[in-house]
Amino acid sequence: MGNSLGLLAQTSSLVDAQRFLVEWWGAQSLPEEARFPFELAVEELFVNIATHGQAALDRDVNVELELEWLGTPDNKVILTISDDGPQFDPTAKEIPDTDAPLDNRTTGGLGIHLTRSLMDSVTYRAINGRNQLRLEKQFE
Amino acid sequence: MEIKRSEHGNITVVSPSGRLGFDEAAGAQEQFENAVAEASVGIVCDCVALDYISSAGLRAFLIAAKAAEQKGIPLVACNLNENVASVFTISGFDRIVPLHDTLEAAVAALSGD
Repeated sequence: MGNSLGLLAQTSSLVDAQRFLVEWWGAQSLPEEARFPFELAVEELFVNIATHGQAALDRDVNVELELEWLGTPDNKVILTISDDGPQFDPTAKEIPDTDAPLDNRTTGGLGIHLTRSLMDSVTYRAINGRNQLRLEKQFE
Repeated sequence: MEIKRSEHGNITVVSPSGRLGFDEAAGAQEQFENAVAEASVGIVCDCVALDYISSAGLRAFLIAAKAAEQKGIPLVACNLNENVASVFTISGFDRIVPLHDTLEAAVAALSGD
């Protein structure tokens, strides 16, 4: 199967993004128990683009997901998510206050915070008018 | 998503199963809120069958926790798998919804045993 998938940035396509990840993961025979950080990252980042990115424009926003497995000695999965929505660097967001009392809590900013915490690295760059996020995680 | 509800003495136990992500969050939130509205002493969320949670799923917990606080009853969770537990601890939600290892421990904590 292919290593990349193009989608319209709409929340109804999240299920397709998740299916792509799960099928790719299976095709690489990677351990299922290591998939969770990538499932979470795909959801958080895709939903972010589909809600914020898309809402700012009156045209369709296109998202591309790309997966790469680097075997021994790297043992690393690289997920790249790019989109042609408004320029936005989620890694520049402030880390939410995870000590705040209940009354002041929201879940704003938690998605990217969770993603960054669960990945080894999350790198943003703007390239050819697209937002590109590269996420890496090494397995033991 | 299906959320089972049961009573352990006067403690209400809700048991979400499968995934609690963006697509499931609104339905889960409604069921959590109903459970809080009908609970009298306290609520335990038994996560033994919960495979996955994202920030959208946390939002359902946050709204339930706020509703429970407003009503003056405790909301705790138990039996989180490693991934779900990591989402709670990274986000600091373990300080909003106290976590217990087992259902028995959670029910006992709310029953004041």
